[in-house]
Amino acid sequence: MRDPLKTILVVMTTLALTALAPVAGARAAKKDAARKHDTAKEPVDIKLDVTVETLGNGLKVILLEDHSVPVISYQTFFRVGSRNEVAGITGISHFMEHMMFNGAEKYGPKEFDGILESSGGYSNAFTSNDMTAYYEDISSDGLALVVDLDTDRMRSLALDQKYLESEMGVVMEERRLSIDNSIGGQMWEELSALAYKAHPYQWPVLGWMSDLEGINREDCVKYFRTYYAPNNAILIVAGDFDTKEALELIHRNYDPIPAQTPPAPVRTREPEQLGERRAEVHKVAELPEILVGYHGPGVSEADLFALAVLESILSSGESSRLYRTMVRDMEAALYAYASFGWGIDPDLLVFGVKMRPGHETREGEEAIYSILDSIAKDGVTAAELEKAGNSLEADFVRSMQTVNGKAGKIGRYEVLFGDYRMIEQVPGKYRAVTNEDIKRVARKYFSEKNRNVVTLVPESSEG
Amino acid sequence: MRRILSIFALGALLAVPVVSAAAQKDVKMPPCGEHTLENGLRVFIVETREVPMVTVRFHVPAGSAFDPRGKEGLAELTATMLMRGAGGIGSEEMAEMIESVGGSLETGTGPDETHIAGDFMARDLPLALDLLAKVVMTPDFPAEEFEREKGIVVSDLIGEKEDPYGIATKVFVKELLGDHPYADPVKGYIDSVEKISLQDVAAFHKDNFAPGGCILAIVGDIDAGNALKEVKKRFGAWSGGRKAAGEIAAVEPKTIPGRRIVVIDKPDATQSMIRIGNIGTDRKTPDYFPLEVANSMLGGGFTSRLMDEIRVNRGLSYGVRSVMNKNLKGGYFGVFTFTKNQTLRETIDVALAELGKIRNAEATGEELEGTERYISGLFPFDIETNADIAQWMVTLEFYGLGKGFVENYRSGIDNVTSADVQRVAEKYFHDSDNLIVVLTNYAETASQLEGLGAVKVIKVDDIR
Repeated sequence: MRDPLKTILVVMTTLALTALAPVAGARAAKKDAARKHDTAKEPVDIKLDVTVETLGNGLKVILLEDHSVPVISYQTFFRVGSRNEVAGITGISHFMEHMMFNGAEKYGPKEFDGILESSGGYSNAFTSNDMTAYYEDISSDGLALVVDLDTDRMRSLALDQKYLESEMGVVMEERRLSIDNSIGGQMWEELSALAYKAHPYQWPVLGWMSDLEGINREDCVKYFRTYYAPNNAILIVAGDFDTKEALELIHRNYDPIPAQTPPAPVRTREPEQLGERRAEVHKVAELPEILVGYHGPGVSEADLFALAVLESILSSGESSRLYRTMVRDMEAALYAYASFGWGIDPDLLVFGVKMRPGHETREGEEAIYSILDSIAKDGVTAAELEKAGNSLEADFVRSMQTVNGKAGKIGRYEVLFGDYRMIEQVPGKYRAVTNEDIKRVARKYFSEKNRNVVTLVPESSEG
Repeated sequence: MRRILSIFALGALLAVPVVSAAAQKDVKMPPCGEHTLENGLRVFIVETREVPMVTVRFHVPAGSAFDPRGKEGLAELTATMLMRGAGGIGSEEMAEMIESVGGSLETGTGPDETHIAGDFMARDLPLALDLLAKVVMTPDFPAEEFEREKGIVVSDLIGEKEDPYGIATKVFVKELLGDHPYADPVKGYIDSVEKISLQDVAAFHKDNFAPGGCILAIVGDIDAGNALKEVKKRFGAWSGGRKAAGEIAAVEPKTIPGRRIVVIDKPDATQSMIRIGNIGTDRKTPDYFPLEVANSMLGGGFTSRLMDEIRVNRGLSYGVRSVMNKNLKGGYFGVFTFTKNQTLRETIDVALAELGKIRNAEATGEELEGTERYISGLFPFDIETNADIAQWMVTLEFYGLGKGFVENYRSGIDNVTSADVQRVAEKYFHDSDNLIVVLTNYAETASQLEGLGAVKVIKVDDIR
């Protein structure tokens, strides 16, 4: 059925992303290449000139017309990830991502990729804790084709038994590659399992091997019906197309796909952690390694942006605190990083250090704590704050260089924040973070009680 | 608005969802200012308006193939040391200057080249060029930084042993290319890096960093005329010539009579890495376009023959691809995949069968056209960002690919016939005379490898 309230289409002569460099003055006063941090910067001005419409069946459509390159990026985000799973079917979200390429009613097995690639297109997908996203990148002429391919699988995914079996083999190899035979993968899996006792973030997106062995067609059919309904999806198209024509095409093809009962909300919240937790991973390895994770805020909490700025100060580049201290001054680490997750539910604030030969993880661990303590007490410098603002802003602009990057960012923000327009606000939110905010979040989250530590204990390959 | 790609198309919206080859729009490089300074430095400047940023890329025609025997890793260590102090600016101060404006500037080394590249907000182009000029022309090479850097490189090389994918590839390339400089990893070996002195680094810089032969590409939201002025101001007075380096020999295109198997024994592996291949060819080969098509058909996208048989039909692996590594003087061809230990032999056999098939029979017209449309269709995505364009400018100049290479790329692909594909497959993809490198738990898989060829076993701890 068709939405009776047709969106008013504004004819746009747009640059899709107008990311104008800060204030006119900055450009002019540029003679002396900035070695000082003297100018308080205005955040980069980002305007997404998009057309948004929600179809009668609940599918949210976001169109970003951009004629800079004769291509389009066509992306579908489903609000489903490993956080929607339950014990016994862990990994099913990611498995469904694979099965979406294995045939539907009109285009049978192999035909999705076969037709797309032989038409000059490329497709891929990813699954995270919170979302599953698909994209097709193709020349502008391919829009009608990808609409047809994507509606076919949303309407009538086949889940053929033969392909369920071979695809499960593929996914198990993916698990063996990126977790079972990967030190980093194994460490992260262990950290999540250690830090979460109740919430689904405890299991890997790839799923436990025994669950992969057990997932059957019935599980998949049910999962597909619930989570791949149009009312649980967002469609984003960015690139070289005409908005009016595209919207008509989308209506014609998506309107007949019925909505389903909305998925049950994820109820479980992780209870407060009451004391430090530690785990070891014994594995054949050359160098000791450590992961330290603290429970952080969810994306809906205001602390998110102060933590993003702090993450940048701690971890971005060779002038960052972690690199300076551990790699350069102590010469104890091969690398050291911070990675603060953005999750619908509270994610982890993680530190990772790989030690150099002859150095123990204890040195890395103590260095992290001492850096965090000093920030909680004394904060950071004005220069560090300014640098983080500039660096986050530049990274932000970098991520919007391609039509794929733009569409992907819109989808991600839409799923995480419930509103893609948050993209326009983020640079300002980074710039608004003060030293007091940094001190406050450092005190609030980085406590011993809230800490989870995974240590790699290297074993020799002779066993 | 300026477009990255110019478009000439009569592309009416098609009623049926089919994309024909004819409908694909032409691809053009954006207008590029091309200059040669009096000292010989080649400069390419392109204005784009997509994002308020600028990419700089400086190319030096000397890479790891120039490393003296026993000091493998010298070119890479020299490149890294450029950023550890230059023109009186210390390593930490330099990082601070770059990162405080949200910029990036990094060095990289390949077999044939060294580059210093990064991107900045467009307003910071003068800063980018200041730093670039200093690191290229007047690096300080402080002794304390050198010792620290060596320590990091050695630790990194020790840590590399933890990565099965990387080890398998490293051994494959070494076993295949043997004594040729391309056989040795760009990063070098633990023992060779330990032998490198600060004098070696300074000498490598002096011998190879000179304006003639170097290329500077600047692409972004800038004024081209002004950018050229800024370049001349900093690089105009640079003088000196490159020391005539010994010519790197061409990689001999010999085939391996019969098959060699090298097993890397990693007793804790539950998944086996597989590398199958032989000597390849160079970047300027007249077989370039037929090879693009043949390689894509064999192991390119999700619908390639190897992907179809190994992943889609049998679920044996998460990924498989075929690789044509093409450098100035040659390279290698390889099929890269992995599978659980239990299906090691089955996967090798399927891969070998596909190598045989593409050699022994012509592809259908449908498969050929599909492959060609796939390659052509994705080509515009290779020229989308400032960094992509800068990379193309350097590549076209360094390899002497000639004007119009990008513009003629699609017709080059379209003109390849099934007979061409079979011809280059016979020439470059070998199913019986080849090298197979396997990283595996050999105790578990030894019996599977019987009858495949002569096996040499290396313990993972014994790899140099």
